[in-house]
Amino acid sequence: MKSILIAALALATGLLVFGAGERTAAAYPQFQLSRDQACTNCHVSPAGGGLLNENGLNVAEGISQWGTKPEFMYKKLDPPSWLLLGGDARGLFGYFQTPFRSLAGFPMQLEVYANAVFGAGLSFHVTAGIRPPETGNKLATLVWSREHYVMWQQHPDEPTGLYARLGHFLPVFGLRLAEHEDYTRRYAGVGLDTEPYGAAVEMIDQTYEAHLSGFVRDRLIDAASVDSGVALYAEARPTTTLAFGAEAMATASKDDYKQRAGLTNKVLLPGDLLIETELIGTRQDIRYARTDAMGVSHQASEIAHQVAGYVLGSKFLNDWLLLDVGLGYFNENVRYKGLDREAFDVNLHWFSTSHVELVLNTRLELIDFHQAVNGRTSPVGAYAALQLHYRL
Amino acid sequence: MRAGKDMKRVIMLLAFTACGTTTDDRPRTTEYVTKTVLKDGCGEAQCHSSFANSNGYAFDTVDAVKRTLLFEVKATGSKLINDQSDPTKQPLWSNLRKRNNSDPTEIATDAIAMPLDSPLPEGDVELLLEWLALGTPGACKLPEGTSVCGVSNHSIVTCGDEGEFVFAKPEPGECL
Repeated sequence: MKSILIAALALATGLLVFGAGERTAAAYPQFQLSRDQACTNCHVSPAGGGLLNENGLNVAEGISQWGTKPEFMYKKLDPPSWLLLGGDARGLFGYFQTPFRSLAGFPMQLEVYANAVFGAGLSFHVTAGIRPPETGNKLATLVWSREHYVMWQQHPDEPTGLYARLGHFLPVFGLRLAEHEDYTRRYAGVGLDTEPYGAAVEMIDQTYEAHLSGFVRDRLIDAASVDSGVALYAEARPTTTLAFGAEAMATASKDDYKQRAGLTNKVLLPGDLLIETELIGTRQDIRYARTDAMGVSHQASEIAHQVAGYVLGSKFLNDWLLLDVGLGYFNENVRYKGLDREAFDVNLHWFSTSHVELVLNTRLELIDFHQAVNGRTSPVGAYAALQLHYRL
Repeated sequence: MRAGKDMKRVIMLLAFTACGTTTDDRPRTTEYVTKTVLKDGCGEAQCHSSFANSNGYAFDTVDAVKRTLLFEVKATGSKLINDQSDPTKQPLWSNLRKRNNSDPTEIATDAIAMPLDSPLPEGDVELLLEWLALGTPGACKLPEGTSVCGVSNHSIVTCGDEGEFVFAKPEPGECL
C-alpha cells in the first residue's frame, strides 16, 4: 500500500512539476554531412531548426518509413508563395530519477512558425507558442514569441550567401544540438528559451560558414538570460565528410563576466557513422562585496574555470531509424574535486511518416565520477522517456 | 578486446578530468553561489528562473535571489530560511538533502528533493547549506538601521555586516 501511495505521489508530483515545463527541441545537426553540407540546405533559417525549405521537406519524406505529403498540413492548406507556415508539437512521458524517482509526462513544445518574404531578399520570421507561464503573471505570459526577426538574404533562392538578421533569436554557437539538456547547450550560453535581442551577420557556403552575433538581454520580459555580448562561430568543411569549427563568446551581466572558447569537429566515417565533438572552456568572473577586518566593504572577484564537452555518434540503422549515442562532460569549477558530471545518452529516433517522429530518450548521469567509480555515495540521475513529435 | 581498452581509456580520462583540490574555499556569498550553483542548478528557464518564477521562487540572478529570500524571510508560513538553530529543520535544507530514513548515508530516491531535473554535486549542496547557515551573506538589503518582523512574527530580522540576515527574538510587543 505504501509503495502504491509513493508511486501515486511521485506520478502526481512529476506531472505537476514537469507539466509546467515546455521544452523546445530544434534541428538535428546529426543530418549534416550524412545528408547535406549546410543547415540552410534543409532549413530556412541560417541557424537551422524550424521551418523546412523544399529540399528539407523532401528529406523529411525520404527518411520516413511511410512517407505522406511532407508539406504544411499535408498541403490541405496552401498558403501563398510569399508565406511559409509550419509548426512543431512535442510531448514526453517516461521515468525520471534526479535522484528522486518519478513517472512524469509533460508538453515540450507547441509552436507555430511563419516566414513572410517581401522581395529584395527581405523576410520576416516569427516563432510563437506556449511557454511556462510566470508565477504571478500567468495569463500574460502563457503565450510568447520565442523568435521574431527581420532577415536579409543575398541569394533568396539559394541556400548559400550572405545573411543578416535583426531581432529576437539565439546566436549561432557550436553544434546546436536539439537536446537542450546536452551540456554544451545547457552550460555554455545557449540554454533553452534564452533568446536575446540581437543582430547577426552570417556567411554560408557549402564548404564553410561563419556567424557573428551581437546581442543584448531582452528587457521586455523577465528573461531567462540577462547576458549581453558577442558570439562567433566559424566552420570549415574541407571535404564532404569532415568539418572543423571554432567558437568564442564574451558576455557581461550585472552579476558576472564570461568568456567562452571552444572547438567542434564532425566526421562522417565509413558505414554512415557521424561523429560530432564539441569542447568548450569558460572563464567566469564573479564580482561580490567583501568586508575587511576594519569593517570596510570592498569589491572582490572570484574566477571559476568550467569545461563542457560532448561527443555524439549518430547512425541511420535503416532509412527511417536513427541511433544517437552520446557522452557528455561538465565541470563547473575545475579547481575543486567532485563538481564534475558525466552523461551517457542513447536516443533512438523513428521517423514514421513525414510528419510524425517517435524518439526514445535515455540518459544515465553521474555526479562526481571519481566517487561513483569507487562505489561511494554520489547522486545518480537518469531518465528513459518516449517523445512524440508532430511537425505541422 | 579493443573496445575494452578504449573504454578503460575513456574512464581514465574522465577520472583525470575530475581532479582538483578537496579544500572547498569557495566564497559563501550570495553573488558567488547564485552565479555558480543556483543559476544552473535551480534557475533554468523552465524552473526557478525570473522567466518562469516557479512557485514564486527565482534563483537565476543575484537580484532575484535577494527578492526571493527577503520575501521568504518576511512571509508568514512558507519560508526557505529562518532563525531555527538547527539548520536541518529549515525547508530549503530538507529540499536539498533527502536521505533514506533507514540509512542516512544513502540519498533518498522516494522523497521529493530538489533539483528535479538533474542532481546537484554533494559539494554544491554543502556550499549552499553553509551559505544558509551563515544567513545568506550578501542577500540582505534592508535600509540601514531598519528591521522587519519575520516568519509569522517569531523573529525580528536585521542585516549584518556581511549583508547576511540576522534573526533575533523580538521584545514583547515589538512584532505584533
